[in-house]
Amino acid sequence: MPTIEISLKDLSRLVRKKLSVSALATALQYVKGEIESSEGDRLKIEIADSNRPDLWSTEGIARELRSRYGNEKSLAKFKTKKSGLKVIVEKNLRNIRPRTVCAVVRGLKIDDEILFQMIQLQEKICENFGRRRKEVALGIYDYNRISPPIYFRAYGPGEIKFVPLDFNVEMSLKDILAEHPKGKEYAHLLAGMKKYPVFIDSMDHVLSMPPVINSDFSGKVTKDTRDVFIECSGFSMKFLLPALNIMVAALADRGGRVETVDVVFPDGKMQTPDFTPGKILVNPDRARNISGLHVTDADIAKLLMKARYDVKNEHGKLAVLIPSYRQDVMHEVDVIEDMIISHGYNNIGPITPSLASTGKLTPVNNFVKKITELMIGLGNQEVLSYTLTNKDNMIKKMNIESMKIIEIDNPVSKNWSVFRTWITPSLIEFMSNNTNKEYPQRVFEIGEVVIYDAKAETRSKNPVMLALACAGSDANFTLAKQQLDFVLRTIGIEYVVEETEHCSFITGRVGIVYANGREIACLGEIHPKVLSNFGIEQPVCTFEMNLSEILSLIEKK
Amino acid sequence: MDLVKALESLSPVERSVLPYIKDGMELRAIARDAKLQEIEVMRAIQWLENKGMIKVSSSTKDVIVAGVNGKLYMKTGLPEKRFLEALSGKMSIDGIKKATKLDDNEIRICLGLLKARYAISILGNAIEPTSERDRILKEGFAEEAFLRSLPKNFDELTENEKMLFARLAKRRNIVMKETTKLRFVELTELGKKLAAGSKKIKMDLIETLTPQMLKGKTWSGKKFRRYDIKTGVPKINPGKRQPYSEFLQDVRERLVSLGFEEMHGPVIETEFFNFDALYQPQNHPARDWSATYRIKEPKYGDLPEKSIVSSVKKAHEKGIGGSSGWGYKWDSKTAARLMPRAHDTAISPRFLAKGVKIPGKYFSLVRCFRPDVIDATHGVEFSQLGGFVIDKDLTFRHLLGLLKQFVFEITGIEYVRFSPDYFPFTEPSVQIAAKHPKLGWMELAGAGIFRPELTLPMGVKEPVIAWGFGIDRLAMLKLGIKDIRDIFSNDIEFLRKAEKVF
Repeated sequence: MPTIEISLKDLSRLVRKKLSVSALATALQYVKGEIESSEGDRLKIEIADSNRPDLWSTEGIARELRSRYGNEKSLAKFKTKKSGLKVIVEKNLRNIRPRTVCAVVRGLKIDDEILFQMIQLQEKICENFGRRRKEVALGIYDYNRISPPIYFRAYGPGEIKFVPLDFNVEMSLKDILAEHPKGKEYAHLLAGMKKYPVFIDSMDHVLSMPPVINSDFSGKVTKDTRDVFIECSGFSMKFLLPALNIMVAALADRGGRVETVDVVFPDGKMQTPDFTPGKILVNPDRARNISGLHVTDADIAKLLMKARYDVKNEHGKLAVLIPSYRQDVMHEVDVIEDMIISHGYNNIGPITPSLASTGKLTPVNNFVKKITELMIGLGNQEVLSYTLTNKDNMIKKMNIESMKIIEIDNPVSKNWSVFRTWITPSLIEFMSNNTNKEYPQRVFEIGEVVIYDAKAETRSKNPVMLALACAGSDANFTLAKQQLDFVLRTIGIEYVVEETEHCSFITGRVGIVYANGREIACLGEIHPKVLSNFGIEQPVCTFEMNLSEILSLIEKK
Repeated sequence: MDLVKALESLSPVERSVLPYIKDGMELRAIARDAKLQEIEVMRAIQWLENKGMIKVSSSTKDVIVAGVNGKLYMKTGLPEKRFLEALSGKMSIDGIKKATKLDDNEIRICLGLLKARYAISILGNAIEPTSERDRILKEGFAEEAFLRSLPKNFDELTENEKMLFARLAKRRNIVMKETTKLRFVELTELGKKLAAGSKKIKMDLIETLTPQMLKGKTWSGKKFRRYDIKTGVPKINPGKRQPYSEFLQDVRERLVSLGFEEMHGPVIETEFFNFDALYQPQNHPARDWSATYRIKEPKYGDLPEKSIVSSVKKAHEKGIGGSSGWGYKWDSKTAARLMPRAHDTAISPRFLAKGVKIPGKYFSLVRCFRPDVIDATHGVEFSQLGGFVIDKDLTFRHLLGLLKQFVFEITGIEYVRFSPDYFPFTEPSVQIAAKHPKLGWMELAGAGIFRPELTLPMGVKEPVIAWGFGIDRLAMLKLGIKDIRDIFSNDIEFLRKAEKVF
C-alpha cells in the first residue's frame, strides 16, 4: 500500500477545480485512496491498490478525478512525435538486464512541486511496482547533455568509470557496488554477474548503471532542465511498458511534449512510448450479474468512460479499451469493478442474502466450549497466551534437554521464535509474572499447539490442548488428579494413570494418562528446579490433556 | 433505632465488649477487662462505631506494654517469685530448677536479684533462704503488680513506676516501650442506653443456624442475631473466563446463529494456500522475506493434487477463464514452502477445493502470524475472522447487504459506508466503515467477490463472496482495551477484575 505526498493546490490546478480537503476525501474513493494525514496544503494519501502505479502521483490522481468532475472522459489522449533518437541494446546484456524502453519529453517547465512528484513517482514505481528495482529501474536524464545515439551495453567491473550522481569522484563499476551507498543497497541485484549494465552515449559519457545509480553528468534533473530522456530497464515488457507510460503520461499532463525513441534490440526493434490502448471484451450480462445493477449497455459504457476507458460495441459484447498506463486489467471483472466504482458503492442498494444454511462450530470448538465450562466450574481462571514462545521458556527453564520443535527462520524477536508443543510452560510463565499476586492461583488455557509430523501435508499437526496449573499451598498431585478425574469422568472417558519420568516434574509424582491404549494427558507436581528457574515460590501442580485425541475417542464410541 | 432491634444486631463479640466500655477507655484496657484478644476488640469497636453506638478517637502515645516474657510471667508469676516460693529450705540449684521449671538464664537472674535483696544466701552449690524470704513473699513483688497494670502511658508513669519499668527493661522481653496508636472509646447516647440494656435484657440469640438446631427444632421460639448486611465482604477469586477468549467465543456463536459453518486450517501453511491459490504472484513484495515469516526446518510441505496445482500454475502464467494471468514462470518449489498462516483467507481455497455446499456460508476465526514489530497496535499474533458465502446468483449488492448485516450483528451499528478497496484475490473489492457514536468512522471489514483465477482452479464456478474482519480491533473496542497486547494479558489481577461485556 503506497503512501504518497501531494499538494492540494497543485492537485486542484491539475483537476481544474478548487478542492477542499473534505471534498477530496470523498473523491479519493475513485482512486481507492484515503487521506492519512494533512498539514496545511500538504497531504499524505494512502493508495490501497498496489497494482495501480499510475495512481501514485498527483498527475495520476488528477487524471482520474478530471473525468469525475466532468472536465474530460474516456481515454486520456497523448500526442507523440518522433525524436529520431536511437537506443541500441547490445547482445552482451542477455543474461544481465536485457530489456529497456525509452522516451523523450521536451518543453518542461519544472517547479519544486513537479520535481518532487517526478522523483516520488520514480521511487514508488521502482520500489513497489518494480519490486525494489529488480523488475523496473527507471532513470530520468537531462536530454541536452546526451550525444545520441545511446548504447545500452554491459561492461566489466573495472572496465569503465564515471562520477555517480551528487558525487565528485570518478568510480569504477566495481567500486560503486562496493562503496557507494546506493551501490551497496542494490548490489545484490547484480550479484554473480561478470559484467554490469550501462547506458552510455556516443561521446562515451555514461548516463547510468541501472538498476544502481545515474551519472552526475547527465543523470541529474533540476528546475532548469527543459528536455528529458527517460529509460526503464529490466526483463519483461509487462513491467517496463506500463512503467514508462506512467512516467511519460505524468510529464505530458504537466505540459511536456512526448517524443518517441527507437529501441534497437539484437532481435528486433521497438518504438516507445506506445500509447496504443489495450483491449478486453466485457460481457454486459456478466457486468449486470456481478454488480446486481439494472444498467443498460449504454449505461455501462457511460460508467466506464468516466473511469477513463473507451467502449465500443462488438457483436453484443463491449470492447473496452484500456489506458496504456494500466497493467492491472487481467480479466473482465477488473473492468466491472471500475464500472461499479463509477456508479458509486454507496448508491447501490445492499440486499441481505437469504440463503438456507445451517450454522455450526467445528467439532473441536464445540467440544472446547463444553470443556471450558467444566474448567470454570472447577474454579479455574481462564488465560490466553501466544502460540509462539521461545526455547528458553519452553525447554531450558522447564528442565528439558531437547525437544523436536518448529522454529521461525526470520523471527522479529527471539522471544517469539518457536511454536509451542505444549501449553504448560506458558502457564508457568504466566505464574512467574504474578508471584506478588494473591494465592492460590489456578489457571487454565485451551489452545492449539504445533507438533512436528513428517507425514502431514504441512509437516505439522495442531492438536487442541487443555492445560491446568495450580499454585499455592494446596497445589499437589492430588489436586491435579482430582481436576483431571472430574473432567474425564464427566465426559465419560475411562482412563489409567501410569508412572513415568519427566524432568519438568518431581520423580514419583508424575504420570501419563491413557484411555483405550492412547496417551491422552500427563499430570504431576512441577519440579522445584523449574519453579526456581521461573522465580516461583509456591508449589505448582499441572495437567495437560489432548482434547483432539479425546474427541476422536468420543466420536468412535 | 429501636433498642431491642439494635441489641439483636450485636454480634457476640460486640455484646461481650459493650458492657466493659467506660468513657475515655483505651482499647487495650477494654480487651484486658473483657478478657478478649485486642484484634477482636478492635473489630468490635469498629462495628459499634459504624452502628453509631460509640465514638472512637485516636492518638499516638509511647506506651509501656508487656513483651513475650512479660505476658508469660503475668500468668506464671515472675521467676524470682517462683524461685523464692520453691525455696522452703536449703536446696541445690538443680533441685530448684526441677521445682520451678526455670531455665539457666532465669536462674542466674534470680540468684542475682534475690541475693541483692538479701532473700537468699549462696553456699557453693547450695542455696538457703534468709529470714527476709517470708516477708518478701508476703509483701509481694512490686514489679509483678506493675506488669499486671500494663499497658500504661509512659508519660503518666509515677517515679516509682519509672524505676520498676527501668528494672524490668533490663531483662529480656518483659516490657517494651511502643509507639502505639491508642484508640479511646466513648459511648454515644445510644451506646449508653444499649450498655445499660445489655445488662438488663437477657439476650438469647442464635448466632449460627446448625443442622443440630434444625434436627432438634431448638431454633423454635428463639431470635436470630441480626447481621449488618451492609458491611463489605472479602473478595473471592473463583473460576472465570478470559475476556478476549470469551469475546471470540461470542463472535463464533453469533456467526453460527447467522447460519455460518466454521472452517479450520493448519497453523503452518504452504505458501500455495497462503498466496498462490489466492492469485498472489510469487514475485509480489508481500511475499518477501521481510513481509512474511518462514519456517527454519522443515522448509517445504506437500502441494495438493496435481489438477489443482497445474490449474493454479496456469492461472498465474497464462491466465484462466478469460484472464490474461500475471505472465511469469510459476515455481512449484516456492509454492511448497512452509510458513505460519499469515491470514485467515488461506483456509478458504482449501475448503473450496474440498467441495462446499451450495448455497453455503462459511467462516473461520483463527490465529494469524506476521513479522510486525510489536507495539500498542501490533500484537505477537492476531486473530482474523473471515469466510465466504457461495450461491449461484450472488451479486455485489448481496455482498454489501451481507457486510451491513455483519456489522450490525457484531457491533450493533447501523450507519455504514462502503469504499472501493484492493485485495489481490477479490474483484470487485470493498471496505466497510461504521460510524461509532463516540469514535466516529471506523474501518471494520474488507470483502469482495473472489477472482475467477482463484475459484476456477478450485473447481468452483459459482460466485463466491469473501469477507474478513479485523476482529482484534473490535475486541479492544468492546473490552475497553487500549493496548492490543492486553488482550493476551498475563496479569492475573487484571483477569480477576475484568468485568463481563455484553
